Amino acid sequence: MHEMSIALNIVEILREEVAKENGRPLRKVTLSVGELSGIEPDSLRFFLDTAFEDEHWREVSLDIQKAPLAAHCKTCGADFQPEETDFRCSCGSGDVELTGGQALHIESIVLE
Amino acid sequence: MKEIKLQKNVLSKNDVIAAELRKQFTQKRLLVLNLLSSPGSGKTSLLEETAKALGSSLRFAVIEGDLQTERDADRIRKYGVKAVQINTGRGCHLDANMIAGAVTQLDLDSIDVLFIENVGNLVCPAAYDLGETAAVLLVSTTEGDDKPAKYPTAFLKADLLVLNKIDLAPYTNFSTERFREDAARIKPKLKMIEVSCTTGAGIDQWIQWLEEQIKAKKIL
Repeated sequence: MHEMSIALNIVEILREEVAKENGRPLRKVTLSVGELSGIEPDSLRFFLDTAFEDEHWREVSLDIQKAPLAAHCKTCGADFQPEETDFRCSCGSGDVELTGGQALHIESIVLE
Repeated sequence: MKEIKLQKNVLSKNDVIAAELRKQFTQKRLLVLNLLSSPGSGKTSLLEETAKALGSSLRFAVIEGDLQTERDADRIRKYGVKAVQINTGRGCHLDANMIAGAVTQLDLDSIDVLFIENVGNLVCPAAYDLGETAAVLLVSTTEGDDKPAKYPTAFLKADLLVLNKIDLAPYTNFSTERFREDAARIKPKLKMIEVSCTTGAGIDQWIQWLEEQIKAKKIL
């Protein structure tokens, strides 16, 4: 629901990275969007397209990868993919640490 | 062509500011609670009941997050509680930078607890660390018992679950049992307190929890 502000955050980070590389043209951005990040990939793409145009980044391909939920059970040690509505381990334990699917990352960028 | 592996968290700037706030709050031994809920669950009502119950025994201040208006802050100010209103405009959540701005308007040394009443929304506020000591999730019975399954991130973030409007539960199809079970699927050890801000039921348990948290802060 806050995809617009997230898109602006992303552009700000990208601007810094492009500046570090003396303004080499940006060609590709790869994002990883966690299933539980609260971010809708299609909506994010919509706002990023607009934001990229404002930056005159015209030929940038945007790859949005979904990061699935991942968890580690502290009781039996299993690494597993929990269901969206049930984070307990199949061993019955609820002492579980989420290890993936929550964050929103810029994985990589490609410059010309 | 040059590829750069960034692996950069998009919210890293927020998290840096949140960490600075947490450091500041910890040094002052201040309990800071981030209050999350849907619109209309009773966040401001809970704060009003808190002000009534605490009287002058504990000093607290409130940062109110709303899209617009000062209405919530005005409700709190009637009880002599200092309230800073943040209007987020179209923004659906508070971020750490807004809190950093708001705390400059407060005398943190003169209070025991700072409540941050987040924008009513169970999605976006869950993604933003505000430097709080604990997150309190408020859900009311009239919203339905399906909230844990629909908004798992808010339940994951929560350190305390407060179920409000229990006086209205008989008029709805809300099942406290189902709600408790579904919440436990997301966060097994999440403590739940049942209250009614209208009848005052359970408010004593909420105040007790609050006093325990403050005590723990002061001893640490």
